Amino acid sequence: MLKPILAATIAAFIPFVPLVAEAQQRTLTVYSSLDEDQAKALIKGFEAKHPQVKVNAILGSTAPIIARVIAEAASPQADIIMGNAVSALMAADARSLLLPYKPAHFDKVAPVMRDNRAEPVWVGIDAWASSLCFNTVEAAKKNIPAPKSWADLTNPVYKGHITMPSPLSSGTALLAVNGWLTIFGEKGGWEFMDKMHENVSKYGHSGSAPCRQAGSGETIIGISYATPGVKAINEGAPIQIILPSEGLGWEIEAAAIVKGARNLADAKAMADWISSREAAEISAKYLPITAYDDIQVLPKNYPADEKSKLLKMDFAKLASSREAVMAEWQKRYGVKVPPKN
Amino acid sequence: MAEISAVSGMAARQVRPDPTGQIVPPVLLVVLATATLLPIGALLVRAFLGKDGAFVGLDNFLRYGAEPGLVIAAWNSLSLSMIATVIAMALAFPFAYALVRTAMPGRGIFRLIALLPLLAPSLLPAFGMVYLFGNQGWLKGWLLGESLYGPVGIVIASVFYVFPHAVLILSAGLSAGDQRHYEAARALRAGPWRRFVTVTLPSCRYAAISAASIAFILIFTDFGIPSVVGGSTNVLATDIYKLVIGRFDFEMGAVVGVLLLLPAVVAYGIDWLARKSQRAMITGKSVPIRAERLPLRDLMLFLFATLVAVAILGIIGMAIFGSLVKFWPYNLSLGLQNYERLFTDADEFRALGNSLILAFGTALAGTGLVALSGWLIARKLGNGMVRNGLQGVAMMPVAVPGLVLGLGYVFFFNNPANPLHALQGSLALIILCTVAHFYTVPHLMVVNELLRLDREIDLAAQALRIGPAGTARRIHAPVLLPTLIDVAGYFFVNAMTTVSALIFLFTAQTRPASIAVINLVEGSRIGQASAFAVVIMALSMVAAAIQLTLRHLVIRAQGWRRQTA
Repeated sequence: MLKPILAATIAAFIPFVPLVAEAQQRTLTVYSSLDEDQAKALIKGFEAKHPQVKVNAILGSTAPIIARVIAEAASPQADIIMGNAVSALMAADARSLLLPYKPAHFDKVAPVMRDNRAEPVWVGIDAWASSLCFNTVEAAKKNIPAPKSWADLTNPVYKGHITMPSPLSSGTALLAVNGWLTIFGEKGGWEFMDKMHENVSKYGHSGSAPCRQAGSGETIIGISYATPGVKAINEGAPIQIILPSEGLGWEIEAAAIVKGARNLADAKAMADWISSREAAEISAKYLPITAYDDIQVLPKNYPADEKSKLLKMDFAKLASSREAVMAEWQKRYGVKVPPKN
Repeated sequence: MAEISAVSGMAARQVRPDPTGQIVPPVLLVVLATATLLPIGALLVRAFLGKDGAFVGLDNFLRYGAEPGLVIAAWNSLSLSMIATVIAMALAFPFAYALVRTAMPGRGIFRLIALLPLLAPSLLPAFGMVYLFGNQGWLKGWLLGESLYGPVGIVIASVFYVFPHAVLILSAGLSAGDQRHYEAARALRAGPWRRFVTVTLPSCRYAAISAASIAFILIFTDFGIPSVVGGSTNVLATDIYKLVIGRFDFEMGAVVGVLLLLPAVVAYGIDWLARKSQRAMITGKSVPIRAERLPLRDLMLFLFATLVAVAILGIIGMAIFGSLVKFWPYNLSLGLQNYERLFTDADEFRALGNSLILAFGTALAGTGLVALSGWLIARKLGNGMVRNGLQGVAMMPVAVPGLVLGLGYVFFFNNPANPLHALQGSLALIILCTVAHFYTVPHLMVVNELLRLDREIDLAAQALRIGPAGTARRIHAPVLLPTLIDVAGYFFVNAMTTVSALIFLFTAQTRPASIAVINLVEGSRIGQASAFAVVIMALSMVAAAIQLTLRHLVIRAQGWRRQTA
């Protein structure tokens, strides 16, 4: 009785077999959370130098990409993560999923943009920082002044007009929160958020959405980062990117090799390429802060003073306090009933 | 042997042992369990494990219970799902009734419009609603000062989302019936209303219960709607996302996954009771329903259906309009600039091809499996335990959020110890996952259709010494054919728009268009994302048009459906 069942079960899966058998060529699987155009340009640069390697890229948001790497731990599918928030990479590193490797040009990379442990796991590609997107048209209709500082956001005039992502699902929100905790201190930071909370109309899931919402007038102020705001401006959105005066929380996007990579040799070659000056020059077309300090290019409509406003942040401490910050945030604001506008 | 005698109910006249009832059900159970139960189980078992993989009993549940905000999230989930289900049923029932039981004009068009929400990637209605009712929306005033972002948005979007599901199940249930019951009622001088209450309503009770439970469960487990228009209103389904994606806490995510299964268990119980009490509606002497002409009723229903259709078209139309403007809401000049990328970028173009392969594969594999499982359940073939197992496995996927299913697939198939490990990264696995994800509704459609057939037909077949397989070929298959065409269409359009289960499964080669849309949103290319979503919807509409035409042709070709007397 059991045998025919077994045989028939196997037979039932046979139609799928031809779909599995793909040509076994030399491929490199890259997971990336960089901007799509930037990721594609970096891959193109790599393939030009290594024509025998075909790069298969899977692009996605910061957190889902790392969640996928963690879920695939039993049999890693990615060879290298080319661009993800260092704080999220640390979560994978804490589960020993990343392979320490010192890329060829590691020593030339700006010290703050590289993993300075004895056995470095990541090398920085670029950095992004918190900023505000402010819709000037809707603000003018309601006679609302442009905020200049983070502290301004606690002004009751902004009640119901601020959206931000929730740090429970967005890395962008986490770096804003970490920035506030750095600026105002542990106690002052939470007090600031308590006050601003009164003005927030929505805590969403996506880090770029608040700038898009500001761009389409769904909100007046979106707490986000500059890139989606720049794109919205380029498309014609009446917004202004504001970099608050106290300084900006920021984070590095870095590359790291996955432990158990099937194509380790090419993964290392990719890490070498990423750490090169040539690769940084490509990234500089998309974000002004790259692994090489002296490359100075400003993408169109990108705010000029971002670099000078970056806060001095203790990334090691922030990585270790990630869970605690999320828990505290959930306790204070996770149960929010939205205020009536 | 025991099974066969149970089927016939007459132990005396045995047909020769037929392998169908012995081998097919267990094999199907193993295949379906591999596609649903085992992967889902591989994730959900983590609810009872610690981070190190050791058994910790209910510790994770207690830890989750202590999370602030859980009670509010659970209450929001329950109450909003309930309200949206009631509204959706109140709209879907008269709509389905008008489609299959009246002579209302334009029934074909109305059927297509009712299916529209199923054809559009969920992003489109979300954008459409924002353009209509958001802070810059044209009809913002209609919400009487309430903000779209919150409970109001969740309810409107949920009703929109489950409406086609409910219409599909209800119209399948309503399209069967026995004209003789109506003749009898008329002879007894029962008026139209009395006939409706005493004949029509009881005959579609099972379909109504199915439709309501499916609608409730779909809303209860959906993540997309609350994340786009939910504002800060927390529901259980968004908790999973925050726990798994935000905090990489798979154990707690599994806890929420288990909690989300609870309403499905209740629904399964209700369904089981309803199935037990269901009597055959079509007997050997049945006469197919002829739609009655009642001008006043038909006019009222026509007006109602027009209203619903305008609402659906308005939301979708707004989204299409949004894909054509330069920059919403500040530059409304029209142009096709958002569509250019789709036909110039090789990756996006390939994504469309992948989606079509995925949709065809899902429709083929899914329809085959559903026909088998629905037939085995409805005709009570094989061992009772195996059958209950099959029914359970078929009912499970609807209650599992796509994220849980997709993660389960990674844990189960991406394990070197699994003999099916080779499937990892293949399009085949994505097809299997999509079949599993959308299995429940088609399964119910087939079961409902076959349950209406009278057992007498089986007995006659047995008397003629035709085995179950022969009966299936000569009687069940022709009866089922129109439903199977609908089932294939359902799998196809869902495969075109599915996202949540695939975010952990797609690769560079297999990335479908629905994921490409999400990637565009993540890259803040909203206009291009809407344009891509519109193209996906257009392809799905072609598929739906083919489906409706085929169905029409089949029904016309099947002469026995017309009354011969």
